[in-house]
Amino acid sequence: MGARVKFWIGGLVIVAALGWLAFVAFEESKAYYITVDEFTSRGGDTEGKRFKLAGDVVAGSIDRSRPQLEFVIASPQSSIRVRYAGRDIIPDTFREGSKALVEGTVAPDGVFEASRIEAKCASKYEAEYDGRTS
Amino acid sequence: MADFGTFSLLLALCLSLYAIIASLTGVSLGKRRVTASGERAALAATAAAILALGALLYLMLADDFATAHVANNSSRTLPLLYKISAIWGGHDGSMLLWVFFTALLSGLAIVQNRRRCRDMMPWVVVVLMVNLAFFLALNLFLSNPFNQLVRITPDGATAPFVPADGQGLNPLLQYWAMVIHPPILYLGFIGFVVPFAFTIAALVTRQQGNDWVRIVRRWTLGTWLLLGIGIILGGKWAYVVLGWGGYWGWDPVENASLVPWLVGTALLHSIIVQERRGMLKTWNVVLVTLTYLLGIFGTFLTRSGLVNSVHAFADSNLGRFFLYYMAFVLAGALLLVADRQSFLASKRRLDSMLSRESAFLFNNLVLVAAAFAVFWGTLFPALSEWLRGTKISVGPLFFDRINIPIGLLLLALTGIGPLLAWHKTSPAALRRSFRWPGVVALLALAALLAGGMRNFTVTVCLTLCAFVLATIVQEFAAGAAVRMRHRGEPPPAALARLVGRNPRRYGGYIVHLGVVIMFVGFVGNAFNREATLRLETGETGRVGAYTLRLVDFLEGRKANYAYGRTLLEVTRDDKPLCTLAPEKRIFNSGGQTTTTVGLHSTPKEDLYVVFTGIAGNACEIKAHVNPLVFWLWFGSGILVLGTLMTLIPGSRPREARS
Amino acid sequence: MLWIVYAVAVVVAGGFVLSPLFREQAPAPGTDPGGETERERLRERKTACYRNIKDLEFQFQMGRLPETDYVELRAEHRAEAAAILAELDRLQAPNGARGAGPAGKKGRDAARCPACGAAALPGKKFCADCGKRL
Repeated sequence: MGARVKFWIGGLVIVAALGWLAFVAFEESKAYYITVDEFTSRGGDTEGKRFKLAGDVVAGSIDRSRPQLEFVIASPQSSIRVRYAGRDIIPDTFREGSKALVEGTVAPDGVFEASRIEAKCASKYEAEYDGRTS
Repeated sequence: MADFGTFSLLLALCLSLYAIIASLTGVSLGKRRVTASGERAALAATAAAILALGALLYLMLADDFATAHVANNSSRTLPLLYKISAIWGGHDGSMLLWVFFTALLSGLAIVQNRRRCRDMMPWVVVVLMVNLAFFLALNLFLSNPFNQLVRITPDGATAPFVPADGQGLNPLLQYWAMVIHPPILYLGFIGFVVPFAFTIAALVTRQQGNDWVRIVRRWTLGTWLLLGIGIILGGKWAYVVLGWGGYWGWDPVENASLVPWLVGTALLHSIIVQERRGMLKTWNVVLVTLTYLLGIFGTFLTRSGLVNSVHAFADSNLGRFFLYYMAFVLAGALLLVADRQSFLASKRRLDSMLSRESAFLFNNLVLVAAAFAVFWGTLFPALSEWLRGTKISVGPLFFDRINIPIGLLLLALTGIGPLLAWHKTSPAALRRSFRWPGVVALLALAALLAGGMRNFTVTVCLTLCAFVLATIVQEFAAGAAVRMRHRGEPPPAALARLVGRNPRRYGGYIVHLGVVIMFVGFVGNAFNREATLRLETGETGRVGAYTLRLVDFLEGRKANYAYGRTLLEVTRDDKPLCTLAPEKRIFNSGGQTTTTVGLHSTPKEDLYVVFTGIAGNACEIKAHVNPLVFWLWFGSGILVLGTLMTLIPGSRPREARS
Repeated sequence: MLWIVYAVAVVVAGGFVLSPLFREQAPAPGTDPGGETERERLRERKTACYRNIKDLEFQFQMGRLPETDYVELRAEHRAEAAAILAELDRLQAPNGARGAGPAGKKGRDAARCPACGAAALPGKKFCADCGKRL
C-alpha cells in the first residue's frame, strides 16, 4: 500500500472522528438565536431547548438583591424575566438599556435561566449623536 | 483639512487605478517604461494614503468637532495618546487606518523587491493595487471619516454644526493594550496580501526557483507574528479590562482573528515542504489565498454585524461589497491555479508515512480542520438562517469540545514531527530518537497519576507537554553533540553556533517551546474556581485557599467618572498576602461602566477579584482563582522571541567545496 | 487656497508617475542587460543549495537520515550545485558578453532544461532538477 493511500486513510479517519465530535458538540450546545418577541410567539414550544435571546435590558429592572442577578429583557412587543446562573462575570457593556444576548433554557418557574450573557461589544461602540452627517 | 483628507483618499484611489491599468498595459505591450510608471503610481498612492491619515491625525489633535468622526470619538480633555488612538476608536477611522496600513505594506513590498523580481513586479503591483483600490473605494464612498456634522434647520435645509465638545473615547478603549491592539491586529490581517500578490505574480509569470517562495515565507511569518501578538493583546484586554474572568470567550470577533492565524500556521509549515522537497505547491497556493481572504473576512465580520446581531445583516451594503470582492478573488485565484497545473506539479511524491513530509501533512490537515471548525461554528447562525430560516448559534462548549482534541493532536505532532527524517525514517533511527522523550513522557505520566491527577484531558495534555519539551531539549543537545564531536567545540560554543548557523530551525523549536508553555496555561482552565461573596465592611469570605476581608468601601467622584472602590485584605493560609482594590467606574457621558480588576498573579495561580455592585447593604464581590494563567502570557512571549529568531537570515555556509 | 494645494499635489504626483514614460526606452521586461539579476538569482540559489547540503550532512550526523538516502540526496544536491556553478561560470566568463549576441543567447537556451527551465550541465543526459531527458 502506497504512502499516499495510507495518508488519505489516516486523514479520513481523523476528519471523520472530528466530524462526529463536531456533530455531538453541536447537538449539545446549539441554541435557537431569536428575539424575545419570536420567543413568546412560540407559545409552549420551549421545553428542553436552548435559546439565545436578543433584546434590550429594561431600565430599572436589574435586581441584585436576590441570590442570583435578575433582570428583564424586552424587544418591542414582549419581555421576559431572566435569572443569571452562569460562572463568568457579567461584562461592563451590560447595563440598563443596553442590547444583550442571553443564552440558556426556561426554568420550571417560567423564568429564563441564562448561563451566558453577552452585551454589545465595545468595538461596536457607536456614538449617540442625532445629527446626520453629510 | 477634512476636505484635504477626502481629496487625498480620492487621489490615492485614482493613482491605484492608474497603477493597475499601466501595469497591465505595460506587460501586454512589453514596454518597461509603462510598467515603471505603474510602479511609481503605486508608490504615489501610498504617499497619498499617508497624507489622508495625517489629515485625520491633524483633525484629532486640533479638536475639530465639525468632523463627525472626531466629535464622536474624541473630546477636549482626552489625553494625547487616546486622541491618537481615537482615530481607530470608531468604524470610519478604523477603515482609514486599514487603508493606510494596506498602502504602507504595499509600498514597502514594492520598494523592497522591485529590483530583484523585476519580471514579477507588474503583477505584484496589479494585485496589491486591486486590493488597495477596493478598500479605498469602501472608505471613500461608504465610510468616509472626513464627513462633516450637519444639523437640519427648521426650514428643512442643512447647515454645518460644530458641537462644543466631542463625545469622548469609549472608556473601555482607554487602556494601553487597546491603543496598540487594533493597529497590530490590522497589520496581522493586511500583511497577508503581500504573499498573495507574489504567489499570483509567480503563477502568472511561471517563476523558476524559490525566490518568490522565500518572499512569501518571510512576509507570512512577519504577518503571522503580528496577528498572534494582536490576538494575545486582545486576550489580555479581555482579561484585565472587560473583567469577565477569562481571556478567551469564542466571541465571533475573536474567532475571526484566530481562523486566519490557524491557516497561516498551516502555511508556514507546508511552505517548508515546498522549499525543501518541491511538494505541496498547489496546496500552498490555496493556503496563501485562504489566509488573504480570511484576513479580509475578519474585518468583514466585525464590520457587517453578520453574526453579532439577529436578522440585521441582509441589508448591509458594506457586507455585500465584501462578499462580491471575496468571490471575485477566490474565483480568480482558483482559475489561475487550474490553468497552471503543469507549473505546480510536484517532482516528488510522498514515499513513507514515517517521514517529516507526512508529519507536516497531518499538521496541515489538523490545523485546517481546526480553522474550519471555528469558522463554521462562527458562521453557523448566518448559514442556518440562510438555509433553513432559523438562526441557530453554537456556544463556547462547541468550540471547546472540538478544539481540545485538535489541540492535543497538534501538540503530539509538534513533538513527533521534528523526530522524523525527511523522505523516510528507518525503524532503528526512530527507536533511537523516541527513546528519551518517551521515557520522559512516561515519567511525567507516572508523576501525574501518583500526584492524584484524575482529569483525563489534563493528564494527556501535560504528558504531551513533557514529551514535546524533551524532544526540543534532545534536538538542541543532539545538535550540539554533533558539533562537539565533529569540530571539537566546547558545549556552550557548540550550542551557540548551532543556533547561529540555523536560526530558522532552532527559532522554530523555540516557538514550539512557547506553544508548550501556553498549553500549560490552557490546562489551568480545568481547575478554575470562583465564588460570589456578599460582604459588609469587616466581613470575610473564602475562595480556594484565600480569605478576603472587606476593609472598607469608598465612593467618590473624579473629573469624568464616579467610582466605588472596595478595599480587600487577602490572607492565604492565615498569612497576610496582599491588599486588592477592585473598582467600578461609571462615566458621566452615556453612563458606561468600567471595571478595574483586583489581580494578584503568581506563576501558580491568579487571584482575580471584581467588584460587581451593591446588593442591599453588602458589596458583591466575584472572586476567581485562575491557575496557571501566568504561563499563557509567558509562553506567548517565548513564541514571539522564537518567531523573531526565525526571521534572522542564517549565516552563509562556506562555499569552498563542490 | 485649498485649490492651489490640490493642484500642486496633482502636479507633483502626476510628474512623479508619468516621468518614466518620457525617458529613453528602458529595456523590455524580461531582458536583463549584463545578466546581473540573473547572476544574483543564481548566487542565491547556490547559497540555498549549499545550505541544503550542509543541513543534509548535519541530519545524517544526528542519525536522522539513513545512509542510502543521505548518499542519494547528497548526489542530487551536488548535481544541482554543479549545474548552478556551471551556469554562473558561463554567465561570468565572457565579460564582453553584455547585451549577448545571438550566439550567446543560443548557448544559454541549450543549457536549460526544456521541461522545467532549470540550469542544466552541458553534456548531461538528464536534468538534475526534474529528471527529464534533455
